[in-house]
Amino acid sequence: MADKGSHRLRVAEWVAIIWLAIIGFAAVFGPLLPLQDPTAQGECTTKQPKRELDASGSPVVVDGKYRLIAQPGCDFQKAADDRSAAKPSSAHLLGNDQIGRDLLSRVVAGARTSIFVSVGSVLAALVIGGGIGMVSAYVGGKVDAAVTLFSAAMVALPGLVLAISFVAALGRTMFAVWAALTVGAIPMVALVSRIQSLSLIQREYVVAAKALGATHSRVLLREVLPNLLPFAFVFVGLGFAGAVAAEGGLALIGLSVDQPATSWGAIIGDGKALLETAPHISLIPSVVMFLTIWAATRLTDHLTDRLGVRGSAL
Amino acid sequence: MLAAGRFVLTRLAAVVGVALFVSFVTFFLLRVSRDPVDVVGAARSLDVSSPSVRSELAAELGTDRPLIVQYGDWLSNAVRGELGTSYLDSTDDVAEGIGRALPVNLELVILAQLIALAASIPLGLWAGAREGRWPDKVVTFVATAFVSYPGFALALVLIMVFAVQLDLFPATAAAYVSFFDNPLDNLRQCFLPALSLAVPMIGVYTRVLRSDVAATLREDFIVTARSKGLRSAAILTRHAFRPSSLSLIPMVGLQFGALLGGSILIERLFAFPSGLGTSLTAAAVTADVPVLLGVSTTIAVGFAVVTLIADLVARLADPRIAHG
Repeated sequence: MADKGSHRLRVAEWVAIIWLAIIGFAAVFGPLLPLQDPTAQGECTTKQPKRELDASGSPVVVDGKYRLIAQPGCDFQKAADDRSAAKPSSAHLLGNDQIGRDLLSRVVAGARTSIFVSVGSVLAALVIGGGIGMVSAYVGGKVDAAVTLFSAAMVALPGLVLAISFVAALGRTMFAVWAALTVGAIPMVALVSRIQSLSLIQREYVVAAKALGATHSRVLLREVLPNLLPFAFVFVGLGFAGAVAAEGGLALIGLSVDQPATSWGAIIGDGKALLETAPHISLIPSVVMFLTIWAATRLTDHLTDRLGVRGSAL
Repeated sequence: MLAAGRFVLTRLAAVVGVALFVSFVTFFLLRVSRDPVDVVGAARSLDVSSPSVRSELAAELGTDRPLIVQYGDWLSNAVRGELGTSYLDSTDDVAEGIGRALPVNLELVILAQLIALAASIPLGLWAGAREGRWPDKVVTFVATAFVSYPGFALALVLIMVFAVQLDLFPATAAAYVSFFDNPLDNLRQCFLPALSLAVPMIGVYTRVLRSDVAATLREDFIVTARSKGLRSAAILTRHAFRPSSLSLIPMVGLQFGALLGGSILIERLFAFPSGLGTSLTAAAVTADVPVLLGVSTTIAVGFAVVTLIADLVARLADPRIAHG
């Protein structure tokens, strides 16, 4: 919570912004960065396009897709053992996981899942939930009462329960996790959007627009919606932080994206069994996750003060 | 009194609505995406490619009828407390399974709430009474960090420090004993899991209480109490605490949801031999519809009821809500 009246960004906020920028960059451009393959288990495997011998016996690239190819003649087991759960070194800045995969590239690959799923679900929940709340407030009456009652009851439900069903039905895909997190976030957004819309709808300019004969959609989109944006920003921050943690939780119990994709929670889960001998495997992704959630919360607090959005509204 | 009755009735309608929604979504999601014949067939190692085996199994499971009829069937049984048996093991009664698993989660949630309240009430009072000064800044900073740290990630750090390094508590609860059999061992096993659940709540509760205490202390009746010469500590505990706890009470009720959700993860992480999380994750992997459906709906109903109770308590604590 920043001091009231002081809207300048302080050191902590700058740290938060820079951290989120780094994570965002890693999520978007991760596959293009000069990192090791996040699935390569030792020096014996390299990433190459698959080649097959043609009729004349010379190798041709099959489909241009890169696959992990074991180097012939290499002691695969030994190479993996050498790097298994290795501590950070100059060759592997964050060390290696239990089967010798480079942790830095895994954390970067995990950022892609964690960030994409979280941002995607927050935005979808914002549009759907925000829309439901706004329309419900505008329509009023029994519809509004039912929407409110239902959303309020759903808010208390732990998102994890619905999420597990989504993953069980749709498989361990990014889509299933995204859908689960989105559905879980909608009721809260709908409630907040409804409450804010309710007070906006009674304002003079909205009443005036109605009196001038503006259509319902015009009133909602041109008069009400723009004034909901400050709350949308605050929700994006808080919702994102919650989604990162939720995805992490799902992944930790093995119900987020399946191999070869990974996420921060999955890496934490991978290292769980080795807490005694190689704590860095779990610790590094959980620190990354913590900093990301902290940064989002910190910036949201700042924004809340800055936009004059009352904290209790959320 | 009439208003209170009406309030309870509408909220009970919401409980029913949530139970219907959760079971409906779970049922149709699972049933449309996977054919139970495949799941059960694989579990009994039957040849599911043969049409006669398929139709026999479908008739046995009742999946040859329209989906909505099957859902209606499930619902009418569920109302009587019969949740069917697991697809994988027809002797495994779902309701009994929940009865065995639930106490573990409830114990973790209750312990976590106790730890969270025991820590956050003094912290919130202290920070609120010194608004803007260093104790407030430190407590607020720590509380914000606590809110940000997911309980499951914290659990790993706690295991590393208190179980692996210091060897004070067991690292897993695989040898879980019931509180009623051996309270001391039980509490030793449950302490780290409950603490990992409690820490984010300490952050949430402290922040809420701190800002309410700070606001209460600016009110006229506190100024009066001060001018009477009452000591600060007495003002805080006797005059400021009750009016400042009005946001905290519904918050504690609401967090039961987050905590039970969290306990599902924590219970897996500490390898409790039974628990709702163990049932749910196993059922999710195998697409065991009756188990998933039963556990999800039970949790949904449990929550809605707890929230309702929390709201009622909040109304009792603050008559303004009931009359406002």
